[in-house]
Amino acid sequence: MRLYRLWFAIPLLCLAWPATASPPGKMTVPAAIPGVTTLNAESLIELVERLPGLVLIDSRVPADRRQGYIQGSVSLPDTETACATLGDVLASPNTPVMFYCNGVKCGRSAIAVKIAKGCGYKKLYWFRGGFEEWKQKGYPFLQQ
Amino acid sequence: MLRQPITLRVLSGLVVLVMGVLGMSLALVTGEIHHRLTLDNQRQGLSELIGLAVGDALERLEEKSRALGLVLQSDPTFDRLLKAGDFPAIGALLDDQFHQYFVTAGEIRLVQLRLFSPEFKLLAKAGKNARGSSSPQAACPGLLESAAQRRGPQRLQSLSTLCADPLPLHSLIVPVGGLSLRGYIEVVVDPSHKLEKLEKTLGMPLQLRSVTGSELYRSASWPAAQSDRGALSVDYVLRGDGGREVLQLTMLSDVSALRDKLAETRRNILLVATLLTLVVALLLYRVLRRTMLEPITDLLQRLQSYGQYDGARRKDTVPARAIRELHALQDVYDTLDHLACTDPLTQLPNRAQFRDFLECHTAGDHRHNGGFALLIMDLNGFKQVNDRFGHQAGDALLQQVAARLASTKRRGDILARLGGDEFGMILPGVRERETAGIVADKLARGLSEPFEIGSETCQVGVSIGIAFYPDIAATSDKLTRLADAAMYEAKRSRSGYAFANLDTASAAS
Repeated sequence: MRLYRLWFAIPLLCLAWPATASPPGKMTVPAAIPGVTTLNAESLIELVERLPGLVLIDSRVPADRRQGYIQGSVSLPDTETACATLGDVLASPNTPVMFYCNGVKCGRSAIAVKIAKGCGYKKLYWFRGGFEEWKQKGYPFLQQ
Repeated sequence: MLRQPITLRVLSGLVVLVMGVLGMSLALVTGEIHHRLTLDNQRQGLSELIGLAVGDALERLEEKSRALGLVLQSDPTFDRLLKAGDFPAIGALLDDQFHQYFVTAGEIRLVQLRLFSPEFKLLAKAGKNARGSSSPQAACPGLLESAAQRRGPQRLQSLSTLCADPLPLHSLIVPVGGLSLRGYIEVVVDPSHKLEKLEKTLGMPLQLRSVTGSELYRSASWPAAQSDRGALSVDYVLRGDGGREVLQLTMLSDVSALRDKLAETRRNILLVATLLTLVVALLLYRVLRRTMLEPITDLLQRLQSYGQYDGARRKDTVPARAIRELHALQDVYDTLDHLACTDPLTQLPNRAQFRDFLECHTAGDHRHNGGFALLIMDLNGFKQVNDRFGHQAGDALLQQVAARLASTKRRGDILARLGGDEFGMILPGVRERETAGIVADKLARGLSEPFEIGSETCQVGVSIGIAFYPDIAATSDKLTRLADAAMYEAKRSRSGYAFANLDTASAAS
């Protein structure tokens, strides 16, 4: 009797496995992050006109950045983002700063913006569509 | 307009022939239409294919032009010179681009490079300018104007157009400075350079012509003579903004296999059409012949045969009529036939039909080989009845006489009224005087009883002449003559009946 139960349980477990396993690595990032202003390409361009002092941070790893980047952005991968490294590029907690990475499938800018929030930066902007949206809309970018 | 009337047969033949010719013409025309439609379809498909390839080539061209603009502004020297406002030096830098990667590697055929301020003021330039070096105009008219009219984020987007000057040009405006706009670079290239490569992409010889018709490029494999039957020439017109013509592409597609296939299809269509037409024409002719020609000819022959004693006249049975009109015609014919062959007063066969019967029985071919006796009967005293009681009474008497004679005759005997008070009878198989005499007696006895005509009673006799076939005569004419003579002999001798012999014959003639 016990053996029958086992035979019955094994296929059930196999069926249930995908649900219990960790979600796939590439997940779409959340639509918004509390305390952070989400931008698209156009609102970013308008923001730059309004806030000339806006710092643009590229949260991608250098290999991705080599494919092209928004002119004037600073490279600071999310893996290196910390209060200290942010302090090197941002003059004060009130300095407006924007983070972007490859796009909605890339979680790096979301991670970086959360770290910056934790470090006490007040004027946080997040270009959720990232480089993918920028390039797809035909806005200019540079390549190394 | 006197013309020889044509026969129905010829007319039907002509109708069938015309239908056949029409059918064949239709097949020919169908084949030709199919041929043209297929080639048009092929041309249309190729034109669409060329359109797709051209679109693809132009997209790649624009990517390369944009890449040049971006590479140029990535150059730190350019950035430094732009900040310093050293435009002559920038002009030299732009000039250098004509000898660097994008041009030397054959990525683009650069025509002109110009730098503009964000307000589209010309700052520096390099390369040819077909419109004159001092012209602030973009290579393609209207491009700078529409770029200058843009507001907001759109100003950071690149903008391109195609135009003819009259040589084809592709002009692209790339913003400089990224998010903080510092100007624009205009990259003008010759698009025909990229389009030339379509000969390899599509594997077809290519010719490019400008809007003025001058040849810009021609594949090495372009045939010398344009009248190459196996090649399908496909034109594609490249248009710029506003639908203005920029360039004309002509490609030659090898369609010899298709043409062979089409020719084969056309041959097959013709063959099938010929066979079908022949079969249909034959069938049609056959149906027409069976349903109309033959019945009409048959009726015509029957009608024509009246007045000629043709032994075969009534031997044929008339075929069933499929056509309503012919059916009606047949009914009319039958009525006429009946009228022509029947004595209206007694409803007995008339002299003409009796003659036919005789002809038939003396034809000597068939079942009547056994011979027969011919009886010619003439009433005695009929004229008196007629004179005394009138014609109506005479007619009534004749009817009664006919009825009595008919009741006396055996099955197979033929009785007819030959005219006036004269009747004829054929007794098949009777060749002996004895038998014929018995019959004659029986007939005479039948008529000897008084006749009741209205309230009157009258009596007539009969004189009968008898002739045997083939003993006395071998032809119906002679036989009749001999029987007649015998009848007169009987009448003269008041013997009731008399047999024909050669003496009476000589007496008769």
